Amino acid sequence: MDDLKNELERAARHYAPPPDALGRLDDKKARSGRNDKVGAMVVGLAIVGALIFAFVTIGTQKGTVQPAAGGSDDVAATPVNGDLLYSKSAEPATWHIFSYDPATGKETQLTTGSRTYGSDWSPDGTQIVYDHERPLGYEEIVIANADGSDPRTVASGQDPAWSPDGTEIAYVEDSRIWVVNTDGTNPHHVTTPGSDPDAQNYEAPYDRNPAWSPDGTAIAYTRIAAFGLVPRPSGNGQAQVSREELRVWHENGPDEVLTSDYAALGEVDWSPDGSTLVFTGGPTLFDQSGMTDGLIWPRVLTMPSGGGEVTPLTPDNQTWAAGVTWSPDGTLIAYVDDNHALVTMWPDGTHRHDLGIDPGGDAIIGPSWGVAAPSPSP
Amino acid sequence: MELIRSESFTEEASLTFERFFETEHDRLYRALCLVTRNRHEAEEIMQDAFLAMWARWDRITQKVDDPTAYLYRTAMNAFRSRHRRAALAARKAVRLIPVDDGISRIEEQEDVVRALASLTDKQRAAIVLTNFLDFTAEEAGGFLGLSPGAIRTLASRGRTELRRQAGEDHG
Repeated sequence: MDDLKNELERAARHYAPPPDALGRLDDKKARSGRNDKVGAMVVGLAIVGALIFAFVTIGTQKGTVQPAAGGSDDVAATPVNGDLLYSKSAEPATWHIFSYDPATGKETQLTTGSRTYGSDWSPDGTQIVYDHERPLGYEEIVIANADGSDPRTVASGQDPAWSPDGTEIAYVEDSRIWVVNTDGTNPHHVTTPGSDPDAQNYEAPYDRNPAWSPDGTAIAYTRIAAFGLVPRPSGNGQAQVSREELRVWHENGPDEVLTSDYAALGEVDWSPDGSTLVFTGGPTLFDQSGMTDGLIWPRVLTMPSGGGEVTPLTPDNQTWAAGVTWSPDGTLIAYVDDNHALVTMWPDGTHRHDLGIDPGGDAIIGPSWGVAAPSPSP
Repeated sequence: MELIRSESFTEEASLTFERFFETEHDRLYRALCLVTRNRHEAEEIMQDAFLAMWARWDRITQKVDDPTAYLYRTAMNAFRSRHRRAALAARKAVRLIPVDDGISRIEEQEDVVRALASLTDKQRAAIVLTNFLDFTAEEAGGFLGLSPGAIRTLASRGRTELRRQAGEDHG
């Protein structure tokens, strides 16, 4: 071990920082300030343009496709599974959104340019929403057509989830879950995990991974509730561990904490009938008296949406299960196994099938399973 | 080279951002070079991390006990975001990165740098955080959004691969 450290120290000596690093930082700060102003102007103009477009469109095209709420006559009784949506590194240092048609095996790249990550389908499968990076690492929530065309920014944040009635987007910003109309109006946070929004990414609590219930009255999400210190296995000092919660925000009622026994929680999704939540995570070490050297591997888990017993769907086979989504027809669950394999399985965990998607240069992020978009009218 | 930790700063009311930068940027930059294997990407991540702290420096000096840990967490968030989902980055990196920024010459001289190239991004990050910067698996896991067990496994697999490569080089 010491040999490796010494080798790394020797190698690192080759990497001297650039001269005048602070001056270069100052230059970048100045540039980013200008870019932010330009970006704000562009976003402002885009929003104004979108509002004008929406006004004109609504006024002239009565038949414009709009996602319908559950129970509407416009929605088929059993949705047809459409494409899977996910992000992957298609080339060095880039991340883009892709769609994959399980029926044909066809993969289509939907975004180019800036890095794009978390994504979701509109309820009718005609549009997508995703977050992409801005200077200094801030993300914007962008809505685009299903083929990636006509992107427009609606908010600043990440992890977007489209409401089932098609009118709102839930997302993460400043450690809280927010909701914004799809035209960018009325952004407001629905959770308040802590008193200091600047605590994001450093101090718990903070919220992430929103997922709308099928009836649109609730949002499941995960919260890093606390960081704690437990003795290190070596007996030398303490180490930090987290306690995370699977929670449900209700439109009319208090938040529910469904479990706090897990950590490393990933994306959450609902079964189409709203009875069950699927998520990924591993046991938390927060309440243990000391660290162990045992390995913790997040697995795909399900739980009744009203709370109850957690059921692991994937085996404890030392692979890292991440993002998970339920198919619109309820017959399949898709998840990312070991960061690189997009796998489908039955909701009881059987019949696992690797779709064989090329993970690109790093990992697959997501996925989100959409409904088959309606065919264009003749 | 010893890891320079900034606990002492927290005892000084007059910690300036400039002094914090001068103290921390060298080590962070070198670590990021090892992780990213690209000087330009390393500088972009380093700059994004420092700028994120600069923007809220007053709050950090008042509320954050360990600005160095905060810096590494922010930087690793940036790295993780580039290679996963999760935050900061250089949008124009692909266009700006030259084909050869000197890494190949270093690889010719240092076996470990050449061997690091064979690891996954996360394995490199886990090894640099734990074996180079001396963070615990728990701390490194916090930086990368992974469990301590995952960090240990990544580092272990990475070290195994490094040993295998070293064996081939000298075998």
